[in-house]
Amino acid sequence: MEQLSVGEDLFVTISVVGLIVLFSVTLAHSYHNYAERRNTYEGLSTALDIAGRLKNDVLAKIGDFVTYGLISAAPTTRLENYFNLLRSQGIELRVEVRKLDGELVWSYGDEPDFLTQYFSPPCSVSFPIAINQSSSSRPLGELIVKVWRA
Amino acid sequence: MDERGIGYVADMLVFALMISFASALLVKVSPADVRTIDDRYTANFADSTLLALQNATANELGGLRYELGFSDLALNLPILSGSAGRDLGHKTLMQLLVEDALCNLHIELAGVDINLIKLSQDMDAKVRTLLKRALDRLSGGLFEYRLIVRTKPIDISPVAKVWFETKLESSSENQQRAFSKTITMAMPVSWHDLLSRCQEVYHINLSSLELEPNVTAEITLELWPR
Repeated sequence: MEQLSVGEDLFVTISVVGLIVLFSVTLAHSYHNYAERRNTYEGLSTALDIAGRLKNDVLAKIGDFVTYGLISAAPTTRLENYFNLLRSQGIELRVEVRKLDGELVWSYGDEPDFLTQYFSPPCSVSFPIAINQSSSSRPLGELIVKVWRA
Repeated sequence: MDERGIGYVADMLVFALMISFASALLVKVSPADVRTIDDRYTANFADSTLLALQNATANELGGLRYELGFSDLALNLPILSGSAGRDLGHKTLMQLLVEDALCNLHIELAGVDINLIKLSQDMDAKVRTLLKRALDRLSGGLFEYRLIVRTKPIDISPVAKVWFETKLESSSENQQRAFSKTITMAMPVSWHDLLSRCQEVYHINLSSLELEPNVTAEITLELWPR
């Protein structure tokens, strides 16, 4: 019985190789887009969860009371504990509290390094808050939370 | 190219079609629509803004001081010098907003709104300027907003009803995809006290009305991305 392999027909060989390469590239590109979207979604979702926890629990407890929307005017022990808990799970965090004019009130955690975080860029979210400077001074401000994978 | 070559090409085309289908699925299927995250962020932002306004004081935004007076008639009598002024810088922005709503009594008679003289027009203007400045800076150009404070209308007669309402907005357009958060706050006066002031003018029989003890205001913040 006569056998005919692909290599015996140049046109078929070129077509086969071309199609394989073309669709492999398409598949790789599709997966890259999918992975990028998934990472962005997961990063922002994590950042939103952490920011919500910070403003409604970790930083909202002043003395014995929790006041929603009002956060402490300095980093607290609870923040340090939460920071260490996240770090043990491979999540790095930087928290900044700024007044509306941009003045930095306090920050906690290191800035993400651009080069080492090239493949895991930080996600950042910010929310309006009031800062508990004293009983008569509670300026409006912004809680900025940056989250990235170690 | 003989029949077998054509067969190989056909096989590869089917293979390519399957890969295209898989790629299309990967492109289409994602963990969640990006709009889901946007929606979650906007809803959280609205919630945080209302909470922040409940705690932040006016002093930190330049304070708030106003003079009692009518629209074009300031009380510039020497004897009133200073005494007609009120400093409200110690109050929270939400308290000021609720008090501003009290300056905006709406009376509707037979479907027609009646304009009333406001003794605290200066306060009304200053509170609105202060809050607009705060909201503009909080939203940071990301969102348009509409803040509405409104009490439940009270039917004081078959043809008349009263309520308090004030509105602050960055854009008057109606957005279909807006996120709103509502909180309820008690006003520092009772319906009875408020209505007793216009009882004689509008011949209201307060005893016939089923009034709640305190005036409660619904504060709604609507946000939508720019």
